[in-house]
Amino acid sequence: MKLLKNNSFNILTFFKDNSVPVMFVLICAVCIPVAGFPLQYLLSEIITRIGRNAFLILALLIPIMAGMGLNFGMTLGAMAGEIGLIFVCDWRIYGIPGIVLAMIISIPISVLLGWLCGTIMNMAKGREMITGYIMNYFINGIYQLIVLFCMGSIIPIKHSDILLPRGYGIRVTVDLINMRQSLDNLIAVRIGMIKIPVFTFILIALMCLFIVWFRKTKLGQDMRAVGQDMEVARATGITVERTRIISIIMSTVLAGFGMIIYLQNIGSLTTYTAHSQIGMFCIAALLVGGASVDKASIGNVFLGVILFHLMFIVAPNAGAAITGDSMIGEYFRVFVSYGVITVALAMYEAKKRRAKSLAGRKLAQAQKEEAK
Amino acid sequence: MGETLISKSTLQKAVQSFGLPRLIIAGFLLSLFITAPFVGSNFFTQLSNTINRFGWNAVLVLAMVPMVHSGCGLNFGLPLGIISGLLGATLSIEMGFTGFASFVMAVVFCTPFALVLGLGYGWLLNKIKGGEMMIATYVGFSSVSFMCMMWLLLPYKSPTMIWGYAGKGLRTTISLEGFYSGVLSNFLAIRTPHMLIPTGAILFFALLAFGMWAFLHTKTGTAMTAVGSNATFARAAGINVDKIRILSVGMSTWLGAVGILVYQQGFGWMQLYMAPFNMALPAVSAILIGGATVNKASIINVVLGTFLFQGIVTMTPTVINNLMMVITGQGLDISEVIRVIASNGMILYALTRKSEVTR
Amino acid sequence: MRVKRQTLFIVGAVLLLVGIAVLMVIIGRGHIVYVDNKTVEYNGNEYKAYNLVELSAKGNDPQEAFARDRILFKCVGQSLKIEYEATKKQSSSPEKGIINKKIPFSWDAVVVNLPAYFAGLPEEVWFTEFIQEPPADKSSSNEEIVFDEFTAF
Repeated sequence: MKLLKNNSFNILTFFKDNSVPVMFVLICAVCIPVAGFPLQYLLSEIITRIGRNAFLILALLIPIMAGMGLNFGMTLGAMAGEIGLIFVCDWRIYGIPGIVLAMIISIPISVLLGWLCGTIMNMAKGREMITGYIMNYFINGIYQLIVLFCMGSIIPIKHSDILLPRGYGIRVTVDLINMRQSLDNLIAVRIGMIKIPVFTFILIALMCLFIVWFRKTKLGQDMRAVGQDMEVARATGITVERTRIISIIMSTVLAGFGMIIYLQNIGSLTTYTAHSQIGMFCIAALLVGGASVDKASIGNVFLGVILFHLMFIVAPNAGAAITGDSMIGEYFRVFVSYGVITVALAMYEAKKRRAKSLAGRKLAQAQKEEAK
Repeated sequence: MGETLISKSTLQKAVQSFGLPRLIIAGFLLSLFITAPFVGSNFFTQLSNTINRFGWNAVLVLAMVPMVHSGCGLNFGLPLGIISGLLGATLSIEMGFTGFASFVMAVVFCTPFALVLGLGYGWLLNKIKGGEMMIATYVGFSSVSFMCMMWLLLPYKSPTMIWGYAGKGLRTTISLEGFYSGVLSNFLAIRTPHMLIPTGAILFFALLAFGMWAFLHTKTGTAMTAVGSNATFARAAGINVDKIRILSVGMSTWLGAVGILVYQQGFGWMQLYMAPFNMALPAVSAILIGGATVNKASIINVVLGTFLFQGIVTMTPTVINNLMMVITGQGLDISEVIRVIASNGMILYALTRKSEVTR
Repeated sequence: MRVKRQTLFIVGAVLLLVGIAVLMVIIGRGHIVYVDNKTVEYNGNEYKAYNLVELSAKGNDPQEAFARDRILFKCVGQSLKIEYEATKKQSSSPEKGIINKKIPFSWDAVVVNLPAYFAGLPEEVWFTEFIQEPPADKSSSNEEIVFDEFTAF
């Protein structure tokens, strides 16, 4: 009897701690049969999407470690990656060398943007997320200024086929045909209908190893210390501001690489819209995987990609089957993405506040005891 | 010598208190007004456009004030209020009201929605003190995407609002012709060849702004300011902080709902689905341009900010385009980008200012 | 001392990256190779197109060019190597061979004229730069930029 009670308690806490993933498993469990996709199709889609998105989501882990929350500013890295791809496309560098070159071009831009973002976030401590979020829009304006007005007029672009007909500014879509899936196809294994992009997976695995290793380095330890408590970290001699900026720079650079991997899989670049939602989707996926604002693991990334994208694939069809209108499913998945972020953010802040008041009460209690 | 030093430091202080970005934006607008006649756009037409857009948007910007006052930060959750407004508007049309009555009824119908949603929203914000702005943003986004489904599913019948061929689901844009299009703007409007002053809309705003000003000077209003400037102190003084905050959120939401109705009567169309999505950002940056900070905002900030922001919105496309035409010989519509950079830069600037509030 | 080592490390990393970038530009520069099997006139002589040429190049699928055909290869890097098996007339036996050529770095696209090459004509006849004409307006002249958060306001 006691054992049973204990057991049920455990299950309850398990559900409470993992409410978001559990909810998603339920949504998927309902939607998959309704949508009626063959299993093989679902599997191949999921594998493609892991290859496409996992790297981007991994880029979010480092700022979480440093206690800066979900890096809504990862979009800056995505823009840097896109600028790299535009140049590579203009210089006619094909295949993997093209992708490597685009990554190298993106590094200085990402570092600059990351530094800017980190500095501004340091000026807005405690409001990092909303600052990063507004930063997106701000830098997006500058990105448009550069790509839409400077490229082709001030910044030389040789080939007119990626320019707008008016002679300057990059076209709304840039074809990446010469780089399309060149990472995915480098070592591709086919099992039936399912294509496994082994090389992309190797890159993702390397990235995971890097993160595991990085946590153990001096810098990684510093970041965790800063994430735990800035004042304590400062007292132990860690340069808090610098550490925080570095974490954002790393995240931005990695997001740039991730965006290039993402776009080489898609095969074309929608110049002005590709990055606008990427941060939101990556963050939603990470949260669906059971991460929170202050704690995220590599496991969360993969669980998140699978669950979130499973929902994304089946929702339109399921919505159409249930309500007779496919738009419902489209809106539903957007709603769920935003809803998940809202719930996760609210739970985190509420928890933080509870912990704070608990600590306060304990302190008061201790003071009372002392007075006695 | 000493005198110049003093004047220099006072000048510096003035710049500091006004804020450099604000100064740049005001200067930019001023230079736009000055250049306008030289590049062939009529000054009075420009001014009239600005005033008209002021009439549309001022109430939405006013909706920022209560929440800033009670220390809830900038109301990035404005879409929630807009949603209530849209519910009121669609209900009013559905019930068959026309003309001025449809506007009044829309305000009446949106009120319960705004209050209920506002109370819930305020309750949520009380649970997460300190993280209001980020969560407000996402509350807005979730509610907009949730309503996207609802617009399709709710059993609206009015043929002016639903898709003709499907027979169900609301249209993305609904014409307000015959309903409340222009009911405020055309009321007592002053017309000259180049100018059109929407007296009614401005009076309506003035009424609400005065109400807000008066409220802030009542006992509850001062309590609200106290909560915003120092919550601990307010609590010690016996003010129920949570209740005041909920009240402020409810007021903001209701003003957002009325604000969108005023906007629609000027614009002439009702936009559903994803349209409310990014309406918070311009309103937020407008009040900041007007001199508000994350925890301080006055009616003056609203008036000044809306005027400056809408000035930039209306002036940049024509003036910059014409200017570029004069300089480079071809039209270059860079105004969009300037607007995005300026307004978001303003929000960023405000966020990085140290706030004196300790929660 | 430590700062100096760090600076050295950063400079080294930057140099390494620049080096890789340059390498990538060199080995990754792509060229489009149009192979024409078309009759060509030179110095008053006419060199007839072959009946059929089978061509293969690294990284591309093997292709067949009948008379008057133009086929397209993509060549990554500057060394172009095309293996061919050409049949002049239906009855004649095929000749095999390899075209080996360095493409100038700055050329985006080249045209290789097979009959001229087979006849041993000078290089400027069979190996020419292909200048792409600016594309005619595919869509409306004013492509709208969709992303704008102020559309509603």
